[in-house]
Amino acid sequence: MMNLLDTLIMYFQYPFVRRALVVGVLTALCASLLGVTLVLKRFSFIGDGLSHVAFGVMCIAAILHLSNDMLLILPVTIACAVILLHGGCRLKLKGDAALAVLSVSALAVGYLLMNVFSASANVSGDVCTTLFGSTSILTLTKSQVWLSIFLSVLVLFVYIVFYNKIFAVTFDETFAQATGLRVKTYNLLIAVVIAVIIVLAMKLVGSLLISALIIFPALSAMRLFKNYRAVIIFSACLSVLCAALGIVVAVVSGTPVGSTIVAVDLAAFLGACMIGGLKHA
Amino acid sequence: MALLTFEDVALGYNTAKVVEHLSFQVNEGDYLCIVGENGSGKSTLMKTCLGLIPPVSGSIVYGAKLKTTEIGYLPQQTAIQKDFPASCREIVLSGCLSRCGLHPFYRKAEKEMADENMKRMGITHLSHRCFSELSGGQQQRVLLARALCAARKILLLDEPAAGLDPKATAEMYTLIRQLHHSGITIIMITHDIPAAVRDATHILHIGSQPVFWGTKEIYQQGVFASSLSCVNQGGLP
Amino acid sequence: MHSLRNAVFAAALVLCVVLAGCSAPKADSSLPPASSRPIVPEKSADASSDNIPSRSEEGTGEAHTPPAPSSDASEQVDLDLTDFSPNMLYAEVYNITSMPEDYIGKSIKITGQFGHFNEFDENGAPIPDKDIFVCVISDAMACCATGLEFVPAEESFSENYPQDGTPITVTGVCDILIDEIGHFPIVQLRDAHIEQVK
Repeated sequence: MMNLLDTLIMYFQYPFVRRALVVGVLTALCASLLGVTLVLKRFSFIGDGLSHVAFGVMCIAAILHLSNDMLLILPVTIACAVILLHGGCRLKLKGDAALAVLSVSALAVGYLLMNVFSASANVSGDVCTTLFGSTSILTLTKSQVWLSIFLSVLVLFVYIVFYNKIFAVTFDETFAQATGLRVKTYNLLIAVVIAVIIVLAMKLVGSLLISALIIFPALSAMRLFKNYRAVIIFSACLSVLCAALGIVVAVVSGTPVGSTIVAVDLAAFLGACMIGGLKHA
Repeated sequence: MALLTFEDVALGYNTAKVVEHLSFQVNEGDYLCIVGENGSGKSTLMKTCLGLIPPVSGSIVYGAKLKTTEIGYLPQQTAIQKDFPASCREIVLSGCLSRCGLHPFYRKAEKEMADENMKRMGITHLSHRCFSELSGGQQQRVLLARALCAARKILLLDEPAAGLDPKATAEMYTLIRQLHHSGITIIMITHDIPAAVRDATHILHIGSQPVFWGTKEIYQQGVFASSLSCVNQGGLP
Repeated sequence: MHSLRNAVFAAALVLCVVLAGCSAPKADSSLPPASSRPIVPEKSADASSDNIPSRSEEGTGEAHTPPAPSSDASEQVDLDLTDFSPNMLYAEVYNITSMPEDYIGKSIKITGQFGHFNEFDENGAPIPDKDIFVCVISDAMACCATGLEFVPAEESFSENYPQDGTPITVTGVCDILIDEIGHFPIVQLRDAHIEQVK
């Protein structure tokens, strides 16, 4: 046990470990906050679809040898999110199939282009890392770290300022609009924020696992708490804890970072289900 | 003082018309009941009043003193709300949002108003309970309290007694009657003709041409009242 | 109640930003900027830094603190990566190959798999007696690999080197060599001692 602690302390002397923890925790925090809204609006599938689109754009950025691929991925993902979500609840029926088509195409075409144009020396490895996030959080460049921190803080700030309005739009869009709230604007805001979070989270857990980071803490919180503020706070705390624990375990034991975080989230969710079940009994 | 005037309005979605040649006026202090068969366009009418759907043709004039932020609305419940994790107080407070404007958080005045409206609806003891765990009647009262937070002049209610047992239904209508007596203009969609006739000042019956709009006394004497099956239950002279 | 919540959120925000500030990379004006990073760093990194310091310059000022020397007293190295978990090892070697300026002059000990390549001239023909030896490190999922080239201290190594894939431990001093043809920096461990791992 002491050996483990020593190893951990030694690893923490390395800046890239501390950076990974800070960026990872901030990303997980933002993801869980928006996760509650997405789950309640029944838009959970959006996270998955948008992350595949982001993957496709990342492939194109790699082919074009862009030094900072976030400059391309962010705007395109935001544009897709806006197109898919701005219709609000109405879009759910039409958007379901459209999103499936878009998401699968982006994944397939992206991978195809990467192979055809041999964008890097190790295509499968890059793709694997982007999809599953094994070590990408540990190999961030300075500009990526600052950008991630800036965006996370911005998302947090926006969420706190618009907390009540996001609640109203999530609970009852019709009422909100009828009483004068600009629902379209807030749906747009939510769409943009979700896109930003997905792009950030790709570095942490990879495209395929982003949904878990967004959804699991929210679902766990809803099993245990029945008022909105408690759900939000618990979801945020749980997400931060799971991300931190996941990163630490992955760094020490050598497991892929993304999958480890999701496994911890899953364990927490199962625990919450059990406790929630006991509470009802 | 006219709060709302419809002039030869056609209602519908895009160009498909559900109701045509609709003309009526709602004055301050009125209690208007909108009745008609299923599918006749009552909810469409309410949504058009609220500005959620534009009219296909015709004009709607809002009174000079009425702004969208002064309208309270009690919609029919959606599936999302059935298991939404929110306490009653949070939901009632969300009705005050239109008063906040750009201010991000609720101020003391808004919180006091929410508490006051919950007291009016008799749900203060439920303020920290989860909304989804309440009975139908209690949920409607919470939503009505929320509508009151948003309403200053006029309250629009879409079948407030839908799905409620007779006791809860009676309580709901009593509450609405009290609100009307305290000075709020009421527009209510209902299937319950006897209740409508008992409490309302005006009736708007849509679904057949020509559309009827007039006081309840004229309605009771007219042919429209008898076209709906449950007319002789409870209360007609 | 709401003001308490606001205060908690604000405190959490401040805490995160402070933490980030403490550990974020510190800009150092004496060092050249880090080159643009390829997704998988190979020897042929498309580096754009054009101010490679000479051998005598030490990489100073960066916040990389090497850990305490390994408990093996016979070999005092600045950076002992032999006991690292696969993720840490991969990430640190990635850092070495991406920002070698910070590691110049430091002795590094790593464990990986042996690899041998021939050097090629402009026409693509292999140059005899010009061997390239590398120590390859894969990440946890073994789908990404990076590595460090090393130059053995003993000349005899070129005649008698192990098979590709043999686990080895390499100890050497980090340095940069500018490739003659492509003019990009190659990270090397000079005066390297190689041991086969049992």
